[in-house]
Amino acid sequence: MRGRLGLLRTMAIAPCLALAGALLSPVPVQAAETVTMWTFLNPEKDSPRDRALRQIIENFEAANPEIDIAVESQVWSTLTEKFVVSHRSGTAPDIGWIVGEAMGLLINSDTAADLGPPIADKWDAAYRENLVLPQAYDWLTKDGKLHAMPIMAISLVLFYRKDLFAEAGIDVAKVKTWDAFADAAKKVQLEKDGRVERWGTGLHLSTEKTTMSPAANALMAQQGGRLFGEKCKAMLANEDGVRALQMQNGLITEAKVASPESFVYTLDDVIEQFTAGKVAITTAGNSRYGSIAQKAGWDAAGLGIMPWPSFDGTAPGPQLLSGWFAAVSKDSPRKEAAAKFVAYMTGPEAAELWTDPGGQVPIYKSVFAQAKFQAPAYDWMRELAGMWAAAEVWLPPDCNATRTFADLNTASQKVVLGEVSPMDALKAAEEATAARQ
Amino acid sequence: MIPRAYRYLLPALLIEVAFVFAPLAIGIYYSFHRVRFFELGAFTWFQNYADVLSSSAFVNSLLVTTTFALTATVLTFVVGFALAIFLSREGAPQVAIRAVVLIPYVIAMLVGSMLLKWILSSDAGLLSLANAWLSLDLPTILGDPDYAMAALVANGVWRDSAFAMILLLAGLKSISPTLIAAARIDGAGTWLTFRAIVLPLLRPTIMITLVRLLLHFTNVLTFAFILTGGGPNDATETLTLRIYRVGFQDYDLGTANAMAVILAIVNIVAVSLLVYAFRRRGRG
Repeated sequence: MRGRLGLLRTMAIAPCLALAGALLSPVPVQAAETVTMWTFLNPEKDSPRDRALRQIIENFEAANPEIDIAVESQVWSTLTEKFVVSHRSGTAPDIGWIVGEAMGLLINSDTAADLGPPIADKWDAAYRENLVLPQAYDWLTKDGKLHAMPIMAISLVLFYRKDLFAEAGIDVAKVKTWDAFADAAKKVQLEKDGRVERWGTGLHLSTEKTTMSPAANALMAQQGGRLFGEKCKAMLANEDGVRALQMQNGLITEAKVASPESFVYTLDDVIEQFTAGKVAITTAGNSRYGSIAQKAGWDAAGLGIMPWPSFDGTAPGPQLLSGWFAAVSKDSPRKEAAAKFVAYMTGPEAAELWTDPGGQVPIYKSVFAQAKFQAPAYDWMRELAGMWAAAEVWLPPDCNATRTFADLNTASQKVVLGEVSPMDALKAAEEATAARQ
Repeated sequence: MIPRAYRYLLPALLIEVAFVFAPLAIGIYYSFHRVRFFELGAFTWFQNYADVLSSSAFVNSLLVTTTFALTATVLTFVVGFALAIFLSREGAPQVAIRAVVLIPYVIAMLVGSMLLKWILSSDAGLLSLANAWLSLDLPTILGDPDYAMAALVANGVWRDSAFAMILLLAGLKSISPTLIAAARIDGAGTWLTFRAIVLPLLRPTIMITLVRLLLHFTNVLTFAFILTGGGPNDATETLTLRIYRVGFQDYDLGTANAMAVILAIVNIVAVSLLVYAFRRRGRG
């Protein structure tokens, strides 16, 4: 990382040093290699993750003076697409950050260099034992090639209000089934003069800016965490799918614990309503924990996370994982230096910085073992890591699943608003997903 | 040697080629290919077009676009014209109202749609407050397919009436007051003056306003993307929203470009019909 001032200073000092070096030293001075990285973070800013990245780069550059890291900040929502397109036009940076949902785009476009030989193949058994999410590396590997490395993992979790649960006398540990979930939501719902002031749960059933819904989670739970079968055939139109869809729609139409307007709510909408106190339970990525706690219109000490319920309650629903990953461009002339930085940025030392100050759940067990991470502020992270260990699930990256959850939401809408049978709606969703493969 | 007159045209021509004709040509070229994950694949002749035209989702989005564009164009024009007539008079209320009317138009389209979304939300918006205070039993506007389309049209009318008003007001102001005065002296009443003097002189402005509104409402993405997300039950999934989803969420640029070419044809046909109708009316 070099600021503009730093560049000017370097330009002024460099010729003098070069002259002095040439006169005094018999050894030629090695020029620094600059590795370019596209990320949505900006190390010159001051958000927790920006600060973490800044520190990681500074540490790396101090330990590797022959490598400079130049960060070019990009808009997060189009970062992966830009990386792939720039690779095609020969203008890709050395390293690109990839969002988990678009991993299929990276893998199918064959944009990335194999990170197995420079990084993962060198790990010993003890190193592998230290991984919180060992399945992630299998997920990122296709035909023996490791396309990217995880930087920070994100899963969709259920956030709930501990204070409201306590008031209603609900033990969250007993909310293991979808029936118990609906009962709990009913108890924490607030109605006044026949109007709902606070919904029991928020559902994001829009077809835009959406992700895994309760129906999708319930269906995956019934199918052993799977949503796709052989040759990326979506597994939606079956009895489990019908049951899952009916359960979800029942939250709106029968239990009446979710708003009828859920069909136009995006994930951001329900998170905002939860933060504002208009919803008692919501889905959100764990990365939102800090911002929800910071902005909550109620005592943030009451913020809790709970495992996903299931139909029979014997095991929790799946923790669908995603997150941010680092890939090295296949055509990069600085692959070795880039891979060296990726190894550091995704290693245990950097994981500590991603957790503090970054606020991310560590992806190495050794981070949790450290004394400073025993504080109560990190309890929810330990809790979440436990949920991941119990029900870690990744969607197959080579299947185009970008809008499968939207297809399921469309099915939900068709059943409630279009009076289509659940099986027909799910068949349409399955066909829509199949057309994208 | 290029004649001097053409040399003056060259910069504009180059810009037009670079930013209009070249992307259009690339789009048409892509529409005849399989383009998945930003990779140009095999030449597929009219396969993308056949897939698009046989897709019920495409037909639905075409109907949604037609309903939205026609309704929003007519209502925006009517509201804009009424405002232009009212504001063409000079007076203190007119000056104040002129400024107020322009507010939705100067707000960014995205911000305006977000504002409207929260106003219309029955759970956490101003509508829910009105519901509570006035003990009304208003429907769930954004959650109902019919009301959602009405909300989408309202978003368009709310934002673009000011645009129509500006164009029509300029047209009204360009009519010489002496013509109006002459008509009055000849004994013409308000309605006859409007019908025989104002409307014929305003015909080119009206045509430009309608063409501009129709094109805008046929091609706008923001309203549906932000306000309703195309839902519920695809009731507001416009063609541009569908193109965006297929191209940039499904990564199928071949099919998306085929739809974009069809949309371009729809635009050309719609505008041609409108212009033809005006010319025919003008001759009649």
